[in-house]
Amino acid sequence: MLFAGQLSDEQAQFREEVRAFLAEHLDAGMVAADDAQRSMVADPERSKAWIALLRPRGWHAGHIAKEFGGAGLSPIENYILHYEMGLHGAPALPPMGLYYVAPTAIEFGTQAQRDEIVPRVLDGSDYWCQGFSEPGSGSDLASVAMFAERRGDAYFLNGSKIWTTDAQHANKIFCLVRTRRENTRDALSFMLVDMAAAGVTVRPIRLFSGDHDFNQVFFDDVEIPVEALLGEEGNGWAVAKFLLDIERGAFVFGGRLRRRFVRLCERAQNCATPLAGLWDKLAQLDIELLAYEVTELRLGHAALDRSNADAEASVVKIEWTELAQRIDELHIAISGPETLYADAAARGASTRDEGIAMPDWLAGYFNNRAASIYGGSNEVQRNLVYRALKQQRRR
Amino acid sequence: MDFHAAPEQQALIDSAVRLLQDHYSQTTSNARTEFDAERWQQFAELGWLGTALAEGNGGLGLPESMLNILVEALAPAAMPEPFVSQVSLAGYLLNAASPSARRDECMAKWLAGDELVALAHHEAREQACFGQPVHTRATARGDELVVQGHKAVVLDGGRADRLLVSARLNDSAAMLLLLVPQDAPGLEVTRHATFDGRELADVDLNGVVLSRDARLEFAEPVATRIDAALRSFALHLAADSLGTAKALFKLSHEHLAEREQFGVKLVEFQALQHRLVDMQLAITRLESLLALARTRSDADGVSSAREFIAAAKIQAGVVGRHLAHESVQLHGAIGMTEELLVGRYFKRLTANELLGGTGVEHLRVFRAQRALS
Ligand SMILES: Cc1cc2nc3c(=O)[nH]c(=O)nc-3n(C[C@H](O)[C@H](O)[C@H](O)COP(=O)(O)OP(=O)(O)OC[C@H]3O[C@@H](n4cnc5c(N)ncnc54)[C@H](O)[C@@H]3O)c2cc1C
Repeated sequence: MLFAGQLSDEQAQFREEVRAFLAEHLDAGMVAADDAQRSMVADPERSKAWIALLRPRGWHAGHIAKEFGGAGLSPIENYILHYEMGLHGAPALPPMGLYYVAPTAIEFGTQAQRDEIVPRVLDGSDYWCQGFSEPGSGSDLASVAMFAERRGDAYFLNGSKIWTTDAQHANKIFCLVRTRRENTRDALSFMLVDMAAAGVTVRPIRLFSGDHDFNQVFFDDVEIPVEALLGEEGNGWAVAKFLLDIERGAFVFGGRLRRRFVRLCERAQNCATPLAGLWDKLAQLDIELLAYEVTELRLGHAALDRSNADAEASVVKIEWTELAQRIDELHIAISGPETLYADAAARGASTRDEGIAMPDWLAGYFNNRAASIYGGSNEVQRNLVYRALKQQRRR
Repeated sequence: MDFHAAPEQQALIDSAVRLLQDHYSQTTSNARTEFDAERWQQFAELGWLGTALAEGNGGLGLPESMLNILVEALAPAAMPEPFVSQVSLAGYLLNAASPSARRDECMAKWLAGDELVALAHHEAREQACFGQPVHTRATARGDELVVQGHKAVVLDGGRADRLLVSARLNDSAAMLLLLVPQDAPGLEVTRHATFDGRELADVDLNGVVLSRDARLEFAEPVATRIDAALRSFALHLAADSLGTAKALFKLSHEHLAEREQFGVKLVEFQALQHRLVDMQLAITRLESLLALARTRSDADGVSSAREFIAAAKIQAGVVGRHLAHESVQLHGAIGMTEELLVGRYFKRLTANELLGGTGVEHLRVFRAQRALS
């Protein structure tokens, strides 16, 4: 984080501890691979190796309370940890288990579910993916049609989920499904499904960059036990909302964006024919990045008043995604025709980068157009921010 | 790490809001543009003029950030009283000067709201706000100083009772800051009214004779102090722009919520909602940059915080333009008239961008500080 003046002594000390840890454990190869990765999403193999190093301190689960096996860091400490990891190029952590499933299970699960689910997320036994979107249900998530029919002590799932990131790597999937035929929110339920169950098939979907990030997952009369329900039957929307709020607000992007910006500046310094007005453009980006870093803290991790947290998470989501996309765009403009050469940069060492040969900054630019679509499109986020503005006006 | 208003900050903001409600209820673009001495007295009584002045100098001894918050809270008034320039230029420099009979007397009158003081430093109507060369010369003649030169863009120069004139001593590079009374023989002040109701002046000093004690003493070089005053001015202008932008947002939102076309309130149209959201996002960015500039100014002083002040000032220009343009557009034709405050705010934001260093100049500062080249 940028302004030391605002850190308490303990926080400054914690930051030193994090930096010392990164200096000792984060090797250059890991960093280079992460920098070259084309997708924003964590790479399963590299993140696993990194998590193994974080685990002794519980820092892979800094946000999770000690009683559940995490480090129980304060929001600010967790912010510092993730800002520094991002800034120094540590591999991204896969969010689905650590950030979505574990906190949601702690919030809504029975004791038996917590005991079963959380340790397996933390020790890496389970790798989760998210089954929300369907071919007919995107922004209007509450319209999902996948049906779970109760027959005796089991549910039988029929339907399909789409755009499922990491389904090719995951052994578990959480799904928002319909448990009654009515088109109402209280007909929705939240279910935890073993992907090894009979009747689950995964079809890869390639991005136009050729990369394989997401999939379609089909459910053909998949039998799952009633204990697979998280929260009560009919309460699925509340569970999904809780999880979506995490998706929009819990992450720290400041450090990663700052790193991308610094790398962009390095590229600009090495560029033979600088773009007109290049450094002014970079300076304007730098200023907006500074603004973002403060916004992320002010509205998110350091906020005391959470009464408007929903809309503030939307603000943060719009801001980081659109800033990231501008950094990517400028990268292409700076690099110029060199971008046409596939050998201009080594292909990312990620197992997910199986796509068409092209420089990593170009593939990153293409892939990151998704940032303003996933996690609730930016248009939908703007709807949510407006809803809050409307309420403020009434007050 | 706390971004929330402390109780004393809140109290300051509340007192500002009360005053605005009582005395600044004008709602049109070109209403009252005249300086009101009574109002100015009231600012003095409330202690506002001395917000960031040392307690030993009769001020409240609050940090620069508190003054900045007050400026932001007062912005919706778009007042003709030159609060921002007076506190950040005159107030800053008088506070920084070493005690002397002349300085103490001047500061007491200024703090009491009895006199205005204007900084006469710039000499050309050009881009540069920082580091402009000073050609005005003070020549020692026995016990007196004789001052010769020309000053431009002197804010409040006509209305001020005294000027703070920067000058070179004899042929040396050493810079002085001299207190010159408005009625000094040889002083010629040409007033200009700006489009947004401010007042500035061109000043000629034709052999103005001053006694030696007209010279303010500083612990640091005068040029350093003037530079710091200008940074503080930029910081407070950015806060004024933030408060003004917020006021414009409110007006635009109100208008869309009231105005009906096609049988519905305009605000029902999603395209317009999203434009309001984008205005709000811009405001959020500026708020964040000001939070940063405030923190750093309090911690390290305005000079060391110059890159963050530059960032805030640049963004104030960007956000100010965005809010001004969108507010006019969302109001439709009525937004172009002098019937509303929209135009008054637009003019104020435009002038704020041109004062205290333009975006172009602060971008140079920012790039140099952050090695962006
Ligand atoms: C890379 C990537 C990874 C993803 N990973 C997952 C995953 O792991 N699991 C999962 O469940 N889903 C995932 N998604 C899906 C994602 O959540 C959806 O794409 C998103 O919610 C938008 O839905 P949609 O694509 O159907 O677009 P649509 O809802 O069809 O929208 C199309 C366009 O219309 C706009 N629009 C829609 N409604 C409105 C409105 N009310 N007002 C204004 N504009 C509107 C949208 O903003 C968009 O621009 C992923 C998506 C991407 C791109």
